[in-house]
Amino acid sequence: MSRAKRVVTWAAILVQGYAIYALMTRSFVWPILWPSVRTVFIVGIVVFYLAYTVMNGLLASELVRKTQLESEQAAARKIQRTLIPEKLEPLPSYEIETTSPSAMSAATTST
Amino acid sequence: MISLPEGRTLIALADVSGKGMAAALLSANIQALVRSMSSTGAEPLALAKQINQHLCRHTPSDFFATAVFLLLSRDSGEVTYVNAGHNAPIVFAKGRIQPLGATGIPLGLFPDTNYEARTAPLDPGASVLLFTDGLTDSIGGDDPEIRVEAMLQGEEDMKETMLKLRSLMKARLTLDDVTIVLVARHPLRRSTS
Repeated sequence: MSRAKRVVTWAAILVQGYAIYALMTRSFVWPILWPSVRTVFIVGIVVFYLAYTVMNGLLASELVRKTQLESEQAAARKIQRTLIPEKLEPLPSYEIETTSPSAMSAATTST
Repeated sequence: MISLPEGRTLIALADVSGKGMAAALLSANIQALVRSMSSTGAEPLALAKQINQHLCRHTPSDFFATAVFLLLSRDSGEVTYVNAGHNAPIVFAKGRIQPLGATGIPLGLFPDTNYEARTAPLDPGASVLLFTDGLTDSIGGDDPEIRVEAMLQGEEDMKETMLKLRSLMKARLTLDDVTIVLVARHPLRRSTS
């Protein structure tokens, strides 16, 4: 996730927290009861859901990006595995030992 | 590894820059080039030059590959090699270590790069180790190459050597794919009368 997106996500989380605080104290600047309870309730709910939507949107986009990256990496790994011969032709008078453990899995062949 | 006529075997090992689908497809492309060119009798020097030009022409400038092409004459044990910026393969036998250093820069950087082919003997009882930088990266420390060389000096059994090489790798440092190839020439058998 980029730095800007991370900052916006954290800001959205803080705004949600502040909206909950305002709704519980029935004021935006407790202990002063300002503005009216009705206004605090309406504005608090709207702000909370706005911040919630922004945060969810950013987290969902990050999830999509990560899932795409993972599926691309899995496909790339599949391609790479097909490039590595499963069995090597034996060479008379020579012995061959190979291994190609990837960052995620391991395999060994020998002749 | 590709068996060629006249008792020769081509061993090619390449490592492509980057990760993911693009790198995997470039690896496949290079492998196809090596297979098709070696079938027409191309030697390591021609392989390096032509693949370098191909990559320079047909891939983005930030893509490159290190590679080592090793042509082994099975009867004489002579190895002709071109090392395009790859980790130096190591020829070793009974305490003797000979790294096959770079004879050119990685493939795909500059189209008019000159590569050099060199030869080295693979005597009976000697072995050659080829590996990608994933091995040295996963060993960590200041001089992973020296640790590999030190380990090779005392080993004669291939399977044991491979196990010891793998034991040097630390899982937490293994972020890149690793390929290790060990080719050992059998020692000459003394005739008994």
